[in-house]
Amino acid sequence: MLHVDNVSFRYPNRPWLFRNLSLTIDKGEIVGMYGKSGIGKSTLAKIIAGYIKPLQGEIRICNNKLTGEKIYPVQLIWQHAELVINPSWQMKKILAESPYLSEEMLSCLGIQSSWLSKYPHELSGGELQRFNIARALGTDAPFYIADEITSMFDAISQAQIWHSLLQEVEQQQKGMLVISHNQKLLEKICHRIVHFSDLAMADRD
Amino acid sequence: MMTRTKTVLLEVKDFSMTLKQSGRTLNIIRSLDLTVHKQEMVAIIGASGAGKSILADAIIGLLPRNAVIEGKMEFLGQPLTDKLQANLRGREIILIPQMTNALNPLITVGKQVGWTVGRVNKKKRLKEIFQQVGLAETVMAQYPHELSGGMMQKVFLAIALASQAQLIIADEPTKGLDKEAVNAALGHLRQLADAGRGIVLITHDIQAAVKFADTIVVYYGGKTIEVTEAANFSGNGDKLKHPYTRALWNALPENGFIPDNPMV
Repeated sequence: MLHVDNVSFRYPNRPWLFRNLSLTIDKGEIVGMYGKSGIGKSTLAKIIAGYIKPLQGEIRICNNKLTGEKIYPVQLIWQHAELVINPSWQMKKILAESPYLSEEMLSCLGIQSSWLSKYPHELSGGELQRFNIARALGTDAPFYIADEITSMFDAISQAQIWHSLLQEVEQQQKGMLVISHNQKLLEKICHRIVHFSDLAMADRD
Repeated sequence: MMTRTKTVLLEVKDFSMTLKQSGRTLNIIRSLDLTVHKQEMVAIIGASGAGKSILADAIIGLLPRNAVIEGKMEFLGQPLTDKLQANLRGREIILIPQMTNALNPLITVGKQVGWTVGRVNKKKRLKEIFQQVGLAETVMAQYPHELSGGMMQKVFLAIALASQAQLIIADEPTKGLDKEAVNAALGHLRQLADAGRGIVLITHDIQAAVKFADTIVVYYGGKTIEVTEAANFSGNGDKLKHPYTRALWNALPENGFIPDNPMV
């Protein structure tokens, strides 16, 4: 079980983004989250995935506080693939960072072998995002956060990506937080849906 | 809808593009068509990699140097030559880009939107536009990296609203916005269309396209496969002609979430 426990955060010289925010995600559970643009969803995602330290509160898995793991047990699949992929690396080098990536997973995600020798700028946004997802899944972490990961896909690719992602997640009993503005999508794929504002004490002064 | 009698703003016919790359020739786009009238909003939907964003770059003349293009491309009846594109770009034709790294990272967003606002009443206009798109005034002093994805989209929308361009090409302008913000953003673009501009909306949000656009154009693999009235996207898609268009419609989470692509 992943515990987000009374987490608070503000950027320097800005009001609190959220205070005492709590959320739990069970193994094998897919939790949907929605909320207004700019409310702090992606910041929360970065905190849970260990990219930002919360000012108060902590992230735990079972009863262990998370510190300095080699592969962080909560992997974030980022919203903007083009900003988190090294532009000067070939795609196969980017994938080499994930030790547990299988051929099967790549084909499941619709990654063509001819793409592996390309550089990021030679791929479309949707193609890049498939690599982004593969790279995260290939770490074999127990928990994932998908932050608006299919809004750049056409409807068919979106359905395909989710069907294959859900298959992986369900088979291996991973936990996942899905952040999206597409409520129809959340209703379709999640066990439970939460509204960001209901998780925290709102405090905007 | 009643667009046939209106002035044709943009006409693209049988547009193709090949890329010459380290000795190889890649045929990226085979045959794309796009007609936009004044007062019309045309939505382009289709698979990732179908050539939607490339077409947008071609219209404003920002293709890479190794691109070879063919086909007809006219703005108000004038062939879009390099010279004409350079004159129109940012003035008569404006592109709201998809990639969030299109803003200058070292300059505040207020200043960047300000470049598009005329000199007259600049401060006041800026304030109005920020309010219109739902950005707080304090955002003007912020730098691009301090904004969320959704806020960034609103900044691009602000640039479009500030411009006097006759043709606005918006490449995924609502990606990352919540539902209310999507409706507001597309509502603004719709108003601009109703006031006589032409809008091209490149999107994957089929529901939004159906709600706001007049015409929907579907691309696949660098080809135009269907041009249809937005209203034809309804029920189980019986009024849509092409199997791929129907498959897109039926892949929506609310319409069955069917992951089948009839083209492969």
